[in-house]
Amino acid sequence: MPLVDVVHLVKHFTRDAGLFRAGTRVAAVDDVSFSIEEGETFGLVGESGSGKTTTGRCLLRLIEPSSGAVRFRGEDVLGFSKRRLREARRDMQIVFQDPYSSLNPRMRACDIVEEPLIIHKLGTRAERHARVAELFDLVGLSPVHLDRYPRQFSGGQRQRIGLARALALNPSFVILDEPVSALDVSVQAQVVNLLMDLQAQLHLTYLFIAHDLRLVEHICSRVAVMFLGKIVEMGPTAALFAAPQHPYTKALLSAIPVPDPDAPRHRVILDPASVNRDAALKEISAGHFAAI
Amino acid sequence: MQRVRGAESALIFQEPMTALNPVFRVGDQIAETLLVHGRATHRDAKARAIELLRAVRITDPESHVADYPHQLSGGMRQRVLIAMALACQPSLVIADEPTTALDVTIQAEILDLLREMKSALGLSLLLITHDLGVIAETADRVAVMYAGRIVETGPVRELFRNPGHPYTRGLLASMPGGRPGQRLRAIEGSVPMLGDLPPGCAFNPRCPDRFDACTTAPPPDFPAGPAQLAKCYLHDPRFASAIRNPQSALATDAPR
Repeated sequence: MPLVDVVHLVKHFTRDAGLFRAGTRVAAVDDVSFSIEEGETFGLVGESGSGKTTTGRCLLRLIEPSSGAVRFRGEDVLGFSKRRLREARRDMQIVFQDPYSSLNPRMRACDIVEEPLIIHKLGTRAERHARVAELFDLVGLSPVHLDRYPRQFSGGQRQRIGLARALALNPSFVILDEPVSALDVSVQAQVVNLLMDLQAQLHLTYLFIAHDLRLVEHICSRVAVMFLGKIVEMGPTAALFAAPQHPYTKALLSAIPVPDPDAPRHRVILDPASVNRDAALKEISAGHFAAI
Repeated sequence: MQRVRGAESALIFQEPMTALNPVFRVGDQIAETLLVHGRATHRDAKARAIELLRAVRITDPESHVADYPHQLSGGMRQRVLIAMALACQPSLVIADEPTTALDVTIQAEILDLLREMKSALGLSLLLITHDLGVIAETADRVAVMYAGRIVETGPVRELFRNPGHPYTRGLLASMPGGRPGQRLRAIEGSVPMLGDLPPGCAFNPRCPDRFDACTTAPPPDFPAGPAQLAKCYLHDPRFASAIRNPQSALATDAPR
């Protein structure tokens, strides 16, 4: 049984009718299905506006999906009561994209990391403080950082705080929404290493949302490509990068700037007419699906 | 100064979302550059603006010339900024992270456009970026900056093949690549605050090749290749025999 199973997930956003226009409905996530096995890193890539962040948030019900099903360990997350959902969220956490705006500037780092423990009424004060110290150590922050405020940290350190907060409740599934895209290249590598170390150490399952394809190729075992709210291609990372099938995936992969001045460049420009928006996912090779 | 700015040299800003004035039509913003520098009369400014939009491959420039910035996508706004920069045929264009805010496919189109414009108009391009991939695809020569100083310069090919400064080497090594799932070679530590630089070479606390000289004084430029200069004592002839081979760092950088 997969850890996370997403079936026909749909999220519509409605734009209310205004004085001069009729209301419109936009499908940000349009019939998306995928499953994530325990212990794997599943990549979700696509351009801004393709619906990847919305998909991630729907899994945790930070945004309520319009229809479809999300099963976590076989249980339907969308059917959970408020209380059951809160319980379930101990096991599924998220690290947000922007470490500059996702931490409350008026809280000390230790309070930010302790907050989930307080919300879930775990442990005594002393036990919680011990857990916070343990988490700081786990993500590579030193005890002197405990009493500092977010503004006193660099971007990489802030992302470590976000990670410590996500890990506070011992989740098994963590959604990483562009966790390093706001960081410098050299710091990015530190955080990526930390993510890989933690996964091995704590047996975490990741949903890795990103637009940096080089990074996705490096750390994801499987990857799904989103285009205008739909998954247009999905498969084992190596197979998908070696032989992309969908015209959008081809354009996306050919657009990656290669840090080698002598690398051959074959730019594929996406011809919107070549995309059949209604095509269903077909299995091309073992586990490799494309909507062509 | 104003005679030079915009006419002889032009700047393409980082954020196409904020660099345009939201309350003026993009055509008028392009025309303004032309009018200020006397390169067009009010009568033909609009026609020139349309021409420029066509040159930066905006489809249907006749109608987009009357659009406001919010009606355009990020990639199109960046094209408008490029059109503005090219309006007076400058000899130098400074592009400050021109593609950082864009998606990777749009980034590829904008880089292609910049490259084309560069060869078609024979201009010089100063491209400011943190993306080594973008540099590899676009630049002829590179200067690597660290904590306010240029620590290494050289032709792109040589610098990527044979980085002379440990920081350059660290940057290149920290890129994802190699065997999937492998740890990346991160540069440990973080960039120092400019008000609180360490003594000597600013990179020395993070440098895998640090030795005694590094903490004495900021290093001057030393030749690190036929056309390369690096501010690093590893290339100081005085220490040539005393220190280990600088390339060793790549081999000895074991995982923690």
